[in-house]
Parts: sequence; structure tokens; C-alpha cells
Amino acid sequence: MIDWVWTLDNGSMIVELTLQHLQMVVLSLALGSILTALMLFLAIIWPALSNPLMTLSSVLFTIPSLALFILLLPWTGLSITTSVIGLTLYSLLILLRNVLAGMQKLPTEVLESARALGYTRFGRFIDIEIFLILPALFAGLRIASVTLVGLVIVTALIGQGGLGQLMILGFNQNFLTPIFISLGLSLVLSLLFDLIITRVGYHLTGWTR
Amino acid sequence: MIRLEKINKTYPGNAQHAISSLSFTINDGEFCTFVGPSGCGKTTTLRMINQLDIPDSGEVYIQGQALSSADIIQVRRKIGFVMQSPALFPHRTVAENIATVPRLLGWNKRVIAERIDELVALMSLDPLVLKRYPHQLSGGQQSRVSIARALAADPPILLMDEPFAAIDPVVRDKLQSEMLELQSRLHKTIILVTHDINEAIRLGDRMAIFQQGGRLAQFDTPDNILAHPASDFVRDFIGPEPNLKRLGMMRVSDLPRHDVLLLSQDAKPLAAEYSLLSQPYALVLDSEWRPQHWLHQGHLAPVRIAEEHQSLRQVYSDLLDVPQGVLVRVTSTGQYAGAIDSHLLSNALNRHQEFTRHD
Repeated sequence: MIDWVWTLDNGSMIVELTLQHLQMVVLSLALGSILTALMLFLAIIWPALSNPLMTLSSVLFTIPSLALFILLLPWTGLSITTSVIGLTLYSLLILLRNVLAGMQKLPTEVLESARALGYTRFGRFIDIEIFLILPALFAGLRIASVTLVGLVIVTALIGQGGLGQLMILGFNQNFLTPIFISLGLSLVLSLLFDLIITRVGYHLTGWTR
Repeated sequence: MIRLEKINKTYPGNAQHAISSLSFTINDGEFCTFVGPSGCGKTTTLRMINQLDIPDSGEVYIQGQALSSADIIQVRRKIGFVMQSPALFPHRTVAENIATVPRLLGWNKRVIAERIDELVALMSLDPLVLKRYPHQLSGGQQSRVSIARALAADPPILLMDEPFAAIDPVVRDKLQSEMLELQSRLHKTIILVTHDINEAIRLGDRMAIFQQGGRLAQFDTPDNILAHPASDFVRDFIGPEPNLKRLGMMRVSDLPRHDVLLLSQDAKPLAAEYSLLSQPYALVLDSEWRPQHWLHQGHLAPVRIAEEHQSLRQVYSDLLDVPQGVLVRVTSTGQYAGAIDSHLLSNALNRHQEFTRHD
């Protein structure tokens, strides 16, 4: 079913596309995290922002990915910028929703006791809230990373796409091998991200056990 | 000294005042309890003392300083606060939890470590729990840690919002007596909010009874309130048996000494130094003045004893099933130290009243 000779012949291309795939996921996840942190700060400075931000994230998340990429085309063209902007937006939406929901679910009596003991608002965030939202943040990172590994494939339609290129190649030539390899490798990437993020989260949240 | 002056507070969407024109003063070193039905403003009042809630009008003074113009973060670090739930920081070990305020105040590590050791001893915690996380502790242990955390920077004032409400009765009783012992050593200014009248009576030097709308129904010593409730509301709130509750606050050692007829084992009368209780029985003592039995018209009867630290409420209960109507007081080594009958208890209630009034 899989043409191993073709696979070996195109080994370097496959590795390169995998690395490109990886790069796009990591880049968008990192940018998404930074933006999430900024939004979180805004939500702390103006708590009234929290609910509108939650709603906005939910609504934007319903835009189909392909439509979003096409919407961006007039500005950024068929470039890696287009795909990174789109992917970042998706990771932002997932992370922000998780983190904001995590903030809203923090135990009020713990926050009250921090206030009563003489924490400033900023000190409380740095010393307490950041740690208590870690479980929600890592849950969000897991969902976002797996979603992104899948979404990168879609960006093949605007000329990017990492492993998505292999898939298009397979479709165009009616040749199954690259499609299977693309599927297999994205699966491996998803599992890898999930594993790494879970392990890191496990070590950072020892107090929950 | 904590002084509240004409405090008002209304919550949005609620026509009735949560607190209206409340003024009172709490002295240094006083253990004061706030008690009242739920929704009477006692917790809100407590939270205004460290500005977790802000009054609409009126002013709170701590050591003469008006809180509305003070740096409230610094003020809070000098006031210990214990919440109804222990509310420990779940991501920090017990030691780190206790060190919270000293760290905020920038103490150096060695001083903090020494202070933690002191507090562990003070709150009778097992040093092994220091490295654990809060959720690995029992409810009673968590409460102790929460009190240790509040006391960490040795604040002169300690505010407690129903700290023992969610704890089982046995541990609660233990924590209450530990609180009293702690206070006898530390002499903090403590305010404790509770909805349990018996807890308020037991712990408070003075007791503030709140009623609906955040008004003070009465603010006095528990004994004065039980003996002279200011209104029907207070009378209802303190519940039945106020005299038993008052007896519950007094110890055998508070009673003046009275004697009974005393005999040695070979039936020779022994000299009694104090006035005799009017009852016909004679008490036989052995050579070391330990009570042996009652003697009346040639009949022997067993002796019931009361120790000096027992509460008069318990003594009264014991008296009810003693046929002679007399209990014998003994010292901690079991020697005769007088006798108690129910007249003595009635007198004690009246005398105690006069005593505390002149105090």
C-alpha cells in the first residue's frame, strides 16, 4: 500500500515538510500564548472585559478555518504570514477561553484571603493566580496544539501547509503513499505535542496531587 | 484600639441598611465576639476593619489612624485574618503558606524559618506537615495552619470570621480551648464572628449581639448580657437557661470556700476553718485529709467530689444526683478543700454579677 522506494527517494523533502509543519505549530502556539497573556492582563485591569472577550473568542472560533485564510489573502497574500496569523488567531481563541474560564473558576475564598493578608492586585496575580490557572492553561495548550497540527494541513490550500503539501501531492497524482505518510506523521506530531505539554504540566502542578 | 464611628452600608438593590449608624470601641488586648442571626451585618462589620468592605459613610480607626486615609495594604499586613474556610493557598506547602505575610514584609529567610518553628509549636502542629500541601491535611489541621498564617507576622490584631463553623464539634471544642489558652499568652486584640451563641459566650471577654439591619442589640460582657438582656431580641437570642450558661463560665475555684462537719477516721471531730454549710452530714477524712465517706446517724454514704478546674455547670449537674445535695471540693492531689451545695451556686451567680459590674 505504501511505496517505500518513493518514500526513501523523497526522504529529505518529507523531513523538511515535517520540520516546516512543526515550526508553524510552535510559532503560532507561542504567538498565541503571548497574545493570551496580554489579553489576560487587560481582563485583570478591566475585569468587565472578561465576559465580552469570552463571547468574542467563542464567536470567532466558529469561522471556518479556510474562510479565515481566504479573508486574510487580500492583505498578506499566499505567504507564511497569512497562515501564521490565522493559526495564531485559532490558538489565541482556544487558550483565551480556557484561561478566562480558569480565572473565573478560581476559589473566591482563596483570593479573598490573599487580599486580607495584604497582597496587592498585581502581587496576587504573580504569586497565586498564575499558579492556580496553570491546569486550565495546560488543558488549553493541549487542545490548541492538537488543533493546530490539523489546521496547518489546511494551509496547504494557500500554498503553505507543511505535511499538507504531501496530501495535495497525493490527491493530484492519485497516489496514496504521500497521503498516508502525511496522515501518519501529523498523528505522531499531535501525540508528541500532547505528551510533551502533559509532562511539562505535570511537573509544574505537583501541588494538585 | 479599634474604633468604629457612625458606619453605614447599603448594598445595591437592597433597600434595608446592611449596617446603619454603627459605633463602638474595642480595647487593646480584648477578645471580642460578634454574634447574631445571619444577614445581621456582623461579617460585613468585621471586613470593614481591614477594608475588605468599604463603608458608605463613617470611619474606622485603628490605633487612632483613620483607615480611609491609610495605606490599606500596609494596614492589612498588620492585621491577622482567618476566614470561615481555611482558604490556604493550594499551590504552596504549609510552611510557605505560614510564611506568606513575613515574605510580603520582606523578612529574611532565617528569621522566617525560626518564626515558622515557633508557630508550629504554638498551634500544636506536627512539624512533618510543613512540607505537605493543604489538601493533604485534615480540616482541623488546615484551621490551625490558617490561624498560624494569620499570626505569622505577630500582628497586634486578629480578625476571625466564623473560623470554626465548618469543623466537627469535637475538634471545634479543642480549637476553642486552644484559642483561649493562646490569648492568655499572646494578649492580642481579637474579634471573632460566630453565629453560635455558646461559642461567643465561651470565647468573648465582651460580646456584641447584632440584630437585623446591622444594629447593636447589646454590647457587654457575656455574664452581664446573660444576667440582664437588654431586649426581648437579646433574651430570645441567648436562648433558654441563661443561668446554666453563666454557671458554665465559672469554675469551682471561683467559689468562696465553705466547710462541712469533719471527722477523722477514729470519729474525732476535726476543726473546720470556714463557715459551715447547713446540712446534717459529717465527712470522714483519712490522715492525709482525703475524703472517705459521709456519716449520718450511723449510716455511711459515698462521697462525690468536684475538682477545682471543673465548670459550675457540671457541678450543678452532678449535684442533681447526689442525695446529700453536697459535693466535696478536692485539690489536684485529692485532699479535702471545702464543699459545695446549690445555695452556694445561687450566691455565686449573684455575687459574680456584682463582682463583674464593679470590675
